[in-house]
Amino acid sequence: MLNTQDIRIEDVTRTYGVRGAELHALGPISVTLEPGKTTAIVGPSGCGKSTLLRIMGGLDRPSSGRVLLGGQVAKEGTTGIGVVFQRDLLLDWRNVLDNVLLPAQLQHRDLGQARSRALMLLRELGVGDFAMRQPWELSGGMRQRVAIARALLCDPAFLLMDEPFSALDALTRDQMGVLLQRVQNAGQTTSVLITHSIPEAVFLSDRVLVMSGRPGMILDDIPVDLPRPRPLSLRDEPEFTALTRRIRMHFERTGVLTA
Amino acid sequence: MSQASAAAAIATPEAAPRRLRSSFLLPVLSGIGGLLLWELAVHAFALPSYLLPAPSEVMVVMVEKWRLLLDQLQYTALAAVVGFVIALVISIVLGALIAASPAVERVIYVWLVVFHAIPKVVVAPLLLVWIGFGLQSSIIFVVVFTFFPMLVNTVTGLRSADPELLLVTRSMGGTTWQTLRAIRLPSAMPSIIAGIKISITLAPLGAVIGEFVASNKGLGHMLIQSVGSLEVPTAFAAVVVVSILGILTWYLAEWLERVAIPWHASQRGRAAE
Repeated sequence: MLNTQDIRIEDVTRTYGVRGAELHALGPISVTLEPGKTTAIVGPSGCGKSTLLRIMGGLDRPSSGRVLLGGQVAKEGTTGIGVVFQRDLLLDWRNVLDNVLLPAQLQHRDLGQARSRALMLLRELGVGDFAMRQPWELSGGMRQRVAIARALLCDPAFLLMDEPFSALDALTRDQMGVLLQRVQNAGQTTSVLITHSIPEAVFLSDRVLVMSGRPGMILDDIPVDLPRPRPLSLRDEPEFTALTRRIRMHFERTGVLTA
Repeated sequence: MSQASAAAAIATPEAAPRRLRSSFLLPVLSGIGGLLLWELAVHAFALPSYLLPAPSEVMVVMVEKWRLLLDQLQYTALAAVVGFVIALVISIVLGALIAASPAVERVIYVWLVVFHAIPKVVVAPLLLVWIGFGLQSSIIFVVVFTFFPMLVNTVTGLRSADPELLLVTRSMGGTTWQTLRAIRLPSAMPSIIAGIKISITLAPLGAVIGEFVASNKGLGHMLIQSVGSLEVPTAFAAVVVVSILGILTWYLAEWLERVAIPWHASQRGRAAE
């Protein structure tokens, strides 16, 4: 695990060459994400949220600027990062437990310890009884829980989540939010959550960054000072709705949402 | 069959005999019916055996010459197996190189396409000149016949791994070699197995054609000799044995598919059949 756990995004931009033309997709963005906190990033489709997350994970390179993870430049091959993608991306040829163990195998960690932790995570996420089952035997929500267990297996300093619940139904999403809080290793892991859901962003995060349309830039930086652990009933509280209204207003003003 | 009726077929006690009837009894009855029609036609039109022997006559020859047929089968099967294994190894290694490197592809692929486009039967006499008479010619023929489908499917399979799945190992710091082992190769297995299924049935064919021109043993040689001396029932007996070999290799490939990719959508639930 890396020692210092903040994420510093310094003047990051990303442009793509599309049929000879240059598409400015992102930035410039400069922001520091505090260690041990969860930051949600919301914004309209195509604003570069996922691109930013991939740059943080070393899976894409910025056109300019840089991202520092615990003081080290983010690049491919950096360990200590757990990523949960929009699709669960489980490997059909491995059973559930072997899917969760994949990062430990790739990073040559002690497989005995990894196995114990994998089983513990699966139990906490409510899929402990399915450890020896094949991924295709599981529902979408269960598959995504396995993907979360896989991302958390090596106790990452950074947890990057790219719309992890977007393919799930509303009830399962709520349930996943509660489960995620339970296993997220609060205070130890610096987490980034990309989401389209405003309530989900507020419910799960300590801070919400609102992004503009392409090229994506930060429109607002909203602290979420709600107590933890957060029950689902928190969503009915006035403080919660005030925060969601503040985020929604940005999208109404820019025409992403119509009032 | 609708999902509801499929479920009913599994649930009811009559389901097992019904399944047996449709999967085993009907094909057997169809086969017996076809042979009977053939037998009747030969007798009804008084066809001479050098033109078209009756199935009963072919059967008699098979019983009389079973030891000879078995010897020839062993020879043909040996050429088919050795040639197929060589082709499998070459196609997987070459396929991996082509999939990994566009430069290798540009250098090699054009030669492979030209090689594939040349009619194999036409070059058979040349092989006889280059390689000589005997088992080695048959083996080379099997390699030539079976290599290309496996190569193309290996390249296609290795290249068609879901790009998002590749992100999984990249995000975990996996190396190129680890990604090949953990993602690319398992992803490619259905395609590789499909290539093997095509090629494995071509292996006996390649061996037989090799024996037509460059061997004094094997079912192919027996076939061509029998036709030459108008012993058509013996030729038919050789054809039957080659066909049985082809059918067995097909079922071997089916078994291999079930064992190698039980996780694939095409195989799920097949163990219960």
